[in-house]
Amino acid sequence: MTSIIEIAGLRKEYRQRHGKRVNAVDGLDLSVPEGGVFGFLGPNGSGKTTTIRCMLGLVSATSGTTAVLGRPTPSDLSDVMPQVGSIVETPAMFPTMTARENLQLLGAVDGIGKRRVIESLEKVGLGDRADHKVRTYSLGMRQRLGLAAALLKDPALLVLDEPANGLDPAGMREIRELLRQMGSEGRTVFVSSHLLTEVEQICDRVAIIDRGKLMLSGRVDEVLAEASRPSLIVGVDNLTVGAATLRNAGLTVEIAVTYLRVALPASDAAHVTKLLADAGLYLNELRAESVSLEELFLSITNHADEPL
Amino acid sequence: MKFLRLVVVEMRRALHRRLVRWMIFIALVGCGGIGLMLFLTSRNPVKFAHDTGHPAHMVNWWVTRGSGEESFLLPGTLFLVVGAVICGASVVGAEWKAGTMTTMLTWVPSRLRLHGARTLSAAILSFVISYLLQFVYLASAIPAVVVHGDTEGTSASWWGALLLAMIRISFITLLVTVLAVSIATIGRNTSAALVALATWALVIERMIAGFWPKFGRFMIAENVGIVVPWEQMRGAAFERSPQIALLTLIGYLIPIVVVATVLFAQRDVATT
Repeated sequence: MTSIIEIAGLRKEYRQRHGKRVNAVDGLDLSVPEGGVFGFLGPNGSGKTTTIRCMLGLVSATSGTTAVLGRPTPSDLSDVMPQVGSIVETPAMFPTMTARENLQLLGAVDGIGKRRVIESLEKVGLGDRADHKVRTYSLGMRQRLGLAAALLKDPALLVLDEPANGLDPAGMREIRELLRQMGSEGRTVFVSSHLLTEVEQICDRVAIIDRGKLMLSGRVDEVLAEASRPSLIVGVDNLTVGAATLRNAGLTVEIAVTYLRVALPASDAAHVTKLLADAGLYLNELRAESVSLEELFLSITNHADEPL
Repeated sequence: MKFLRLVVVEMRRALHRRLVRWMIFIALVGCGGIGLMLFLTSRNPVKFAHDTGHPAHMVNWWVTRGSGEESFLLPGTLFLVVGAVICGASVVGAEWKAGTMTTMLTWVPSRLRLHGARTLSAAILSFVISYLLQFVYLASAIPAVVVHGDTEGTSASWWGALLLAMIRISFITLLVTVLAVSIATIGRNTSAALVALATWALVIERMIAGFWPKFGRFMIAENVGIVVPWEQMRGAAFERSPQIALLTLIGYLIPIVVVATVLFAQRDVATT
């Protein structure tokens, strides 16, 4: 599969006050295949934004290489950027100008016409507010305006840094649907976020970074399947007796608060059912245990005590 | 072609700035007020007859230093220079404050091209706007000239000298604008540029010129004072030709522009 973003050994060191050095990104390797929505996940301060800034030439890497659309960056950025739409942190526009004026000014840089401006605004649902000043926009509308700006170039790659930041649930849903739509149009959408439920719903692939290092990367379903322990969740009225029955049959059983966790794959569920029924215990719950992206993320980053 | 397009975009962005629009509006209102004042002060024929330097005598719009009168054009220069500093610094400083610099860099990844276009657009705008404002400023005196004054002594060479002086004043505002743009680029801040320039011009230069008058030849204000009238300063403790004064001003500008360009090209655009 062709890589649209290729990062190798990326390191970015910042010097703080009193000469202290901090590695925002620490030897990151990442490959983003072409097409679909790619979630770039990590807790706050894990290096997501710095990685994006390095890719887009906004900050210079201490070491390592980045390539976008097969071209090395930042050296070839001038050739690459016409095909890349991006939002880095909060999309900034002139508040005293209308959305249409803001986009026309941006578009004029690349010779993009007025028709494309209104198409982009309509695509993000701002067509009827095109002539309202940006200062009257809500946060969600500003995010959508940022997306419209990113879409102006009709890009092959969209790089979006926390596009759902600060949005209410309705705004998040709007952005989610937009991203899903863009991913299905054949573009590659590279979206960084710490909102895992959102990402799980729209991404085909994910990478999780922590403290500037890649912890895990792959297709969402494969990553979750790999992380899931092959176990069954079993509910019975008497957990102690149920656990003893299964242990006597040689199974590994763990008593959780309201259920038993049996170390068996889902295909062996009938065996568990029979053992318990033979002991006069009847099931009130039986399912294969699944791991959510959020659980996986917390187990990898080990930052359960920090707010996501 | 792309660069020219970017210069035009940068000009449009600068003209969309509220501060720039307000400064132009204030200048226009000020010109209106001055015109009214000139008209009223030239109404009394007795007083007016004694006031040989009044701008209602059109020849006073531009006079040489030897004539003993002050040119009507000159006081406006100070306001143009102050306005140019504020607008020039704001065009860059506000971009950093609002975060639109990052947005622009994702559209124009070549920093040299972006900085070059921004500086050039600010310079062109500053020159054109200051030239047009000087016309409005002079035009404000026309009612007084037509109703109460005269155009005696305004020969073709006088008109030529006036237009050249206006060009020199516009060129000075251009230089000051580029200086403000560069310092705001270095400091990434409007206030930093304003404070730095005000401290240099109002404190450091005045101290140096006060304590060591001969060093006045190296001061920006003194050199501007020679370039605008294009003649030696009256009562100065030094000799300096207008050409050398102009080169001195450009000499100040070049290293600051170079430093600003290099820093803009190399520094990270990020917060950690």
